[in-house]
Amino acid sequence: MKKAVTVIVLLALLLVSGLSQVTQAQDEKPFEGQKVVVVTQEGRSIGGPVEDYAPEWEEMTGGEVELQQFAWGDLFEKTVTALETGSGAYDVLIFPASWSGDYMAPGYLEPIPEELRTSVDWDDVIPLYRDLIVSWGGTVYALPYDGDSHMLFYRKDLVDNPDYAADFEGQYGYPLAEPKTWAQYRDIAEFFNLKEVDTAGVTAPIYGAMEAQKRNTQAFYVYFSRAAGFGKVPGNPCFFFSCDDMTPQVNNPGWVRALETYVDITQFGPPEMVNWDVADTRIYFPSGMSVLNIDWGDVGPISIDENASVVKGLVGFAPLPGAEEYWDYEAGEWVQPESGVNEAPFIAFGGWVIGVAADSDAKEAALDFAAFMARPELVKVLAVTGGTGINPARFSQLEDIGPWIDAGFDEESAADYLDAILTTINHPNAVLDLRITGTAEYQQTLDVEITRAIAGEISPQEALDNAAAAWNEISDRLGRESQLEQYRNSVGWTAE
Amino acid sequence: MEASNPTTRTGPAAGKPPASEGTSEDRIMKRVFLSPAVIVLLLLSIFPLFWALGLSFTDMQRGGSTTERIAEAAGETGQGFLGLDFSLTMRNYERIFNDERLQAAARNTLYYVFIGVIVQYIIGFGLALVLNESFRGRNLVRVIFLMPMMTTPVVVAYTGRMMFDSYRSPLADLLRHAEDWIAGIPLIGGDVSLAAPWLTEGSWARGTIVLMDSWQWIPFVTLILLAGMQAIPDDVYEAARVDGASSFQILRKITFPLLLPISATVVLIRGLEIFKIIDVIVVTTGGGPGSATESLTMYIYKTALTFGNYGYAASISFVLLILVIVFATVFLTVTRRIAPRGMY
Repeated sequence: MKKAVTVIVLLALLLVSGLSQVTQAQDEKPFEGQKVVVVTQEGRSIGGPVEDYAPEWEEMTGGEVELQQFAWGDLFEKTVTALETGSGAYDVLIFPASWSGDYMAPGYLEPIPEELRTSVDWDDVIPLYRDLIVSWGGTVYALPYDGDSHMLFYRKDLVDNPDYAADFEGQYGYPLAEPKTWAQYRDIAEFFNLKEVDTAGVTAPIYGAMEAQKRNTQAFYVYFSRAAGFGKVPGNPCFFFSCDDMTPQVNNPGWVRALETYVDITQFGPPEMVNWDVADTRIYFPSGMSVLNIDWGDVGPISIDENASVVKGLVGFAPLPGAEEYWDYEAGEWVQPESGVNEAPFIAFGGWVIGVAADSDAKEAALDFAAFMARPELVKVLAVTGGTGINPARFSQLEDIGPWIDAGFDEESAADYLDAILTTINHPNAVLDLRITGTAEYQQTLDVEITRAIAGEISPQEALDNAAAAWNEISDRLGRESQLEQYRNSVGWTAE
Repeated sequence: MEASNPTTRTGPAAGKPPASEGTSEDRIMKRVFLSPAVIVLLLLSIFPLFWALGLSFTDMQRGGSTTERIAEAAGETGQGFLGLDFSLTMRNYERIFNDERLQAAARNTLYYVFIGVIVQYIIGFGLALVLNESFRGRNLVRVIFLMPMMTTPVVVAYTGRMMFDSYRSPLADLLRHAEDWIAGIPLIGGDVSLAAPWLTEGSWARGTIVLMDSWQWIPFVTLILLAGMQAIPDDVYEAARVDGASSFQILRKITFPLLLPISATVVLIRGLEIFKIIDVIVVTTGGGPGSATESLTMYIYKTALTFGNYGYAASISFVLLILVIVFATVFLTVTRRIAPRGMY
């Protein structure tokens, strides 16, 4: 009998210890056997860090990450169709903040819990991204991953070079320097276009400017950046539409002039530019092919990567040029600002953000992976690494110059780069990207028309009249009143 | 004696169904065995077709109907068709006639079909003639010719995009070298430019898309025509040669006419396929420059899945279907008229 009791006690002890080991293992690997499907755009930019760091998360949690990538032109269709049909195909979505109206407004995304936000140091996120970009109707639906705004890149070894200064001043009547207006930008592009210059020891002709202009890509953001200077009215946050009645502003004289300049610059760029997206210009500008370039901040870290760039330390960074006058659509007239320049940096895109699908069957694991990718220590490293597609969205990324210098920037370039980003983000006249229901459709109908103007099929005025008609049709179809309300909320418009 | 009428049944078999029809039990079993295929066909082809036709007369879109949204904004409810969340409308079909982008896409698609089919047939026919001859390494050459057909269209498009970059590509380099070579020729001088805007100028870009599609599908045309050529009996050719026919006469009077039925099939298949072209365009030009290369299928895809306008996308699909039916009908009618009697 005693023996039997001893055996039972021993068995019980074994069972308890076995169970505790299993529980411990489960605690250590909380998502063992769960698969998280992540979807984003193709290529190393944005998706690359997921490939690189997912194994670390898998090792820690026992979960599995499957990355699915689609071309930019297909990403919206693939994801929104999956969300709309409740297929549960994707658990984590890394998507442009400007699609929030189509993702967040219908409730396709899971709200981000308070404790998760705390875990990624929420107070470190710049308020523009924290309070506006990742939220809808006061609820946070995504974690900031990338902070995006357009800026100007230029070859400072040429623009600041006294050898060219006298010629330029003689030709244009003012000193050669970093362009502050789109007119100066054009003059510099024209002055240098096809001029033989020295780049990394090779003397060869250089193009004046390089801007993405391909249809069905992200090129239309470059046009928005130009339109901001000519069409943004200081003090009025409503840029794309009138906040009175949702009238599209896309064909007002300011926007038309912007398109004329966008078409005009084609003559000072490579002939193939009309078939280039930013993915292409990010290869060619750092290869020393042009003097000027408009893009997101990604070009900064790429320009100092010796494997991808021959212009390390030769690139100057600045906020977008402005316009010498802007069209006040309420007054119906051109206005010349007192400062001489209407600076209106464009918070293009708003950045890539990480959301979790509400129909995910691995929600906890998905939220954990989202927080893993958005944690401050990781995005700080990614922001200084070329080709990741990640730009600063946190104070810690902008205030600490050390990682930028460690990554290969010289001190002057790092300060210049961070100053350009901070100036853009903090500018009182900055233009927020469109983020209402149907944003992708508004953008893509405009995209078709502006590329038709670039191709010379129709005039800029005709192109933008077509776009305005299409925008009105979309607003009517989606419900003009609800669209107006969304737009007012998205830009913080109040009747006063 | 009264002539017997072959169509009149007499004798013991009168009143019975023909032997081929079998008993009523056989007929029932035939239907039972056929029914799965018929049901699958109805479910996967006929039902979606009629569903899409119905959809094309509604205002259905992502997130509900236009009518519903407008009614909601006005504080009203229940305006949808039979209380459903969509309304019947002719607006989609009215819009078709005023949609410039659609008209451009239709023109581009017709261009791809007609030019594409002509290019692919002519080159495919020529290659089939070559591969029909006996020469050393013929089997290897045949396999090499077939390789593009085995590649996915996306790979073809990426390859084409690299090849037809007018600035940095093997083709651009080759043309630059050719320019240098021509410049060295006396009297011609150095003013010859061979640079071509392959994908950056509208009409060139359309032609380049046709080139890429042709590169992939000429082997298919070649393969089918080669099979047809090999089915022509040798004694026909021998008889012609005995009669003193030249090679060109043999080609014109024997090979080409005897290949007409198979040529009609291959042209029809390629024509119908090119009507659906999308992948090469999306990868290389995205439909640009401007609207120069957008096809109807690409426009339908964008309208349905980017814009979520399902009703309008369905109506454009029917425009495409009508174009395809017209093409096929006209083509078959013309082919029947020109083909020798008895071939159809």
